[in-house]
Amino acid sequence: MMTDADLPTPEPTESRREISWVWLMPVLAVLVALGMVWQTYANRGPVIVVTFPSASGIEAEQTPLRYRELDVGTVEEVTFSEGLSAIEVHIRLDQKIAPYVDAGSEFWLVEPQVSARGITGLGTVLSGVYIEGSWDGTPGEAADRFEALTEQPLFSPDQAGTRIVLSSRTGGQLSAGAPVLFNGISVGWIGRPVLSENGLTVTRDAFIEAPYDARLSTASRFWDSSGLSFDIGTNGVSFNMESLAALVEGGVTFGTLVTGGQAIEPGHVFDVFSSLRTARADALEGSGTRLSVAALVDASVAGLSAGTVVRYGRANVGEVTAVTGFRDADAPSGDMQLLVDLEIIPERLGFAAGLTTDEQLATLADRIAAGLRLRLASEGIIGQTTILEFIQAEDAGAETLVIDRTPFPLVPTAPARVGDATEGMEGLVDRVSNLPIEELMTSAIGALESVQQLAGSPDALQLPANANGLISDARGLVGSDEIRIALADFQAATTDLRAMTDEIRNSPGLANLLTALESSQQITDGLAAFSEGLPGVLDSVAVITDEIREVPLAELVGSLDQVTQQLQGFLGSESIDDLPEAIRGTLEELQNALTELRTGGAVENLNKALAAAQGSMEAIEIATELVPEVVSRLDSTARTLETAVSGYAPGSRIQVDITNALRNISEAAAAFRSLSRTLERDPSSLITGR
Amino acid sequence: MYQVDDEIAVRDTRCIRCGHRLTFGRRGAIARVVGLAMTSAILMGLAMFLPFLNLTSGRNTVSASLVEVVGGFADGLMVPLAFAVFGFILVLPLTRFVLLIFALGPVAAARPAFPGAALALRWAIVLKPWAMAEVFMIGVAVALIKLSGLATIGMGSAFWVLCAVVLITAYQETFMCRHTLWTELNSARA
Amino acid sequence: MDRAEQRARLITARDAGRVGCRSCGLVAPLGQRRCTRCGAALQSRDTQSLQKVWAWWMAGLITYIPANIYPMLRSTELFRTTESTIVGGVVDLIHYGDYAVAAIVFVASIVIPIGKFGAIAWLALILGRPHAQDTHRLHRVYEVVEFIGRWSMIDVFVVAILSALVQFETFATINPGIAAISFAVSVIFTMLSAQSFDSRLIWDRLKEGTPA
Repeated sequence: MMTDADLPTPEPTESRREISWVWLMPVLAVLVALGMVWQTYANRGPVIVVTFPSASGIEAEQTPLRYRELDVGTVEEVTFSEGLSAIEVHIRLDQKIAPYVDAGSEFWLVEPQVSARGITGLGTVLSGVYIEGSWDGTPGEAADRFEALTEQPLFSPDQAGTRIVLSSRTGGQLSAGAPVLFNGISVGWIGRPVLSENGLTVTRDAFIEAPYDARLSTASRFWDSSGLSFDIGTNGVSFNMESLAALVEGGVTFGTLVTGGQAIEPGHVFDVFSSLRTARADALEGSGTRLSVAALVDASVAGLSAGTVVRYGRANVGEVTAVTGFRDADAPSGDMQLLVDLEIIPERLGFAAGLTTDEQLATLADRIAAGLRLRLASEGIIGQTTILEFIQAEDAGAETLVIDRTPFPLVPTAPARVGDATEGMEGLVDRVSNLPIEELMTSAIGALESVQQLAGSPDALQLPANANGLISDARGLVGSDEIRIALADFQAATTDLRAMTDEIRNSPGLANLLTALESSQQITDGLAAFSEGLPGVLDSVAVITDEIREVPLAELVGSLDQVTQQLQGFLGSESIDDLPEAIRGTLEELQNALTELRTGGAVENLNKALAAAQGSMEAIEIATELVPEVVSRLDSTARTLETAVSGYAPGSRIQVDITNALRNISEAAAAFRSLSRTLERDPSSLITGR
Repeated sequence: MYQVDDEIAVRDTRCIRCGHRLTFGRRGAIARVVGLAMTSAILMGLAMFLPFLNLTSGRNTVSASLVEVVGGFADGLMVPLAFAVFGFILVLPLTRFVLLIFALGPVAAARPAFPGAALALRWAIVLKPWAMAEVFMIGVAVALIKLSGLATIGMGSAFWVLCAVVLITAYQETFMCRHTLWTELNSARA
Repeated sequence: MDRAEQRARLITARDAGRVGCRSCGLVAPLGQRRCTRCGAALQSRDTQSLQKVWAWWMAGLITYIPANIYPMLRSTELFRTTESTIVGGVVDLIHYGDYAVAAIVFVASIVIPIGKFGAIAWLALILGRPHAQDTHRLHRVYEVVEFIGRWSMIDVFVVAILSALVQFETFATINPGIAAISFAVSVIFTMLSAQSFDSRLIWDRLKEGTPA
């Protein structure tokens, strides 16, 4: 075996170097460390400072800055500002985005809140709050200190569009973030309402996006299209709903209702009208200057509220802006009165244009001295619509504008014009429906039939052929299919309407509402069809009345006379006691009417009756209430016919039909009235059902 | 085949034929130990503050450096745990490196040893089982697997640096022959 | 010389009237207090070794119990809080099909600690009295126990990482439970217990005639 000593020994190599290669490692490590550190620092963007009122949820190193939903920076530090008045948040921006954050940038904290854009930021409940910034795409003047906005701004600097201001009476149904609609599409949104200093108007910023903002001009009008709008007009009854969004959060629609508008500046103030109709009225009649005045009325008046119309003659000259309770400071134990603030357009009262407010007030004072007064009046066929009107009072004492007692100058008032009720539709309907007509008529006609048989004189059969023919014409017309169908339609329509309003009121919920609205669509179609057919009917009825007038009634009355005498004989008999009390009363009425006819001159009375009929027709406002107009015409026609040809039993069919129609109309009217009152008072009850 | 005796063994030797290193001389070993210790120390210091891991879930990204990982549960009852973890994975390894550098640095530079070098070296050796950086890395691997279902995990730069430290430390261990170290230290002290 | 011959020529330092430094290996005369080279305390035998072993062992065992009873992890997902113990966590992992991770956690947090308790107890019991075991085996057990102890800390670090990372307010948060501390402490104690072993004891109590 070889001894170990025979093995060669490895050559010892003296390291040529004193320093071994291993020292590279630490050097390398240092370089790597420095490199990484430098890279982190060099890639950092600049720091900006944004001041917030409070640090709600902002965490150093955690809370990001976002732009268009992308992280572009992080909060580095959160400190107090000098004097502890605010919180300074130091945000480090990403280098790439830093040049764009210029002096016009805006920052705000995104957290769950109700903001100018409505309810926003709900997502941050899970993800944590963040700061959002907005700036345009062009680098501008550099800035590094900002004050945060309290809420998301209405629009960001890079959004194309126009900012305008909307002014309205009340905060109303328009919530922040509600859409601005044009032709049914959403073209912008409105911001948060701000109460004006005098507390009378509410202004909101609104933003209309490009390219729709090009449609804005001085001729544009805005109107409230929230919820449902409910209109009875010359075209019939209409329900309108702009959109579901408008139903829930409100909405404002605009349109250019007249020609000749000029371009507007950003920040132009538009009024928000309560409906398309008022907006159109304002556009057509032209606007003038506004003058704020006031009046004191009795507190027992119902139906006065903001929006109540002020008239002069037939023209709208303004509207009520507010109604508040008022107790005279000088007579504290006095009764409560209502202080009605109103805004009028003096030009429509005949004032000259271009006057200053003081000049207008002076002119007003002159007019008041000459007898101009304000008074309450009621108008309208459907319910008591209360209005205020300016009138020229004949025997008014010398009064003047009272200044300083109330915020606005007080216009003296005249006694209210109340009491057209007896001539209006309601009174008519009330009177009619107060009579137990159906039973009355049935029994009366039965009685009259027996009277006829009793009388039975051949003379009665000799009534002028004209009258006969007239009656059969009238009967033919009134019994005609068109009117029957029309009446049936209307009956059906009113039934449906009633059912629908019940449905709406009793079953809240949008689904129900929508079904109700669908059927209302059918109803309005039916009603529209009905009211389309009516003018034709009306014309025919007018023809009848004319014919009636031409009829030589003297002979008619002569035969009536005979009937009357027989009637009187009948009445004198004992068997009359067997008839019900009411019938007797009616018969007495008839008797009186016949007596009148005889004593007063038949034709004259008839004329008077016709005149009364026509008079009552004139009392009805032609512009609207078609249906009740028809009914009242029918009614007066019927009455005229009644008095003229009461002996003819076949007329009972007409009477019954008309009576039914009258009753349905009155019920429908009651339903309309209460619905419109409910809507007026609280539109949301439509949805909530309360 | 060579015969190596003690005297030869203390120096670097190479194979005559191929040049492959046969023994690391003491000088070389110590130099390596110190050099690697320095490297590890620097890298570890770097790794403490760079982002270690980041977790992205939905829109939120949580990024944590080693210090934050430890600080993450340093409130209330868990403070001792935080200290323990911090100690095992950062403080102790770093202390070891520093002690090694302190004890053997002068030796590697052919200078007299610092006073207390022996103590330092002893403690560096004693602390070896308590420096658990590599256990930590395995733990991180397990945690990553557990979280992979929940969210997207990203490894930050500190992660890779720490991996490097673990590997370097393992490599360094191979040079830590106690006998050699003590002998060298002793001669440097004397 | 072959191994057997070389073995026969072994002399322990003690027999030679010296004591070896456990830290650096230098041999010094018996009775010297400190090693001249490294300054470590010199002890020919650590007579208190087994006492220390047992003491640390018991401490480790005591702290291991709450580590398994109390939750290791408390995770909150959208208002639902779940707490999982070590064993519970393993079961969940198996449920989710994560067999590899479950195995790692199971081994590191259950097998190793319990194994250590067992091994250390066994060693301590054997070395407490004269024994006739194979010294190599004993020594190997000792080495393994000492080496493997630190790896039990895996689970503690996992909890730490999870707690640090998963902190998304309402969405999901993970926090460490009491068991985390308890377990870490237990691991520390068992490591100290293993370290307290004076391995030289293995040969001391060897019965006469047993090959060393």
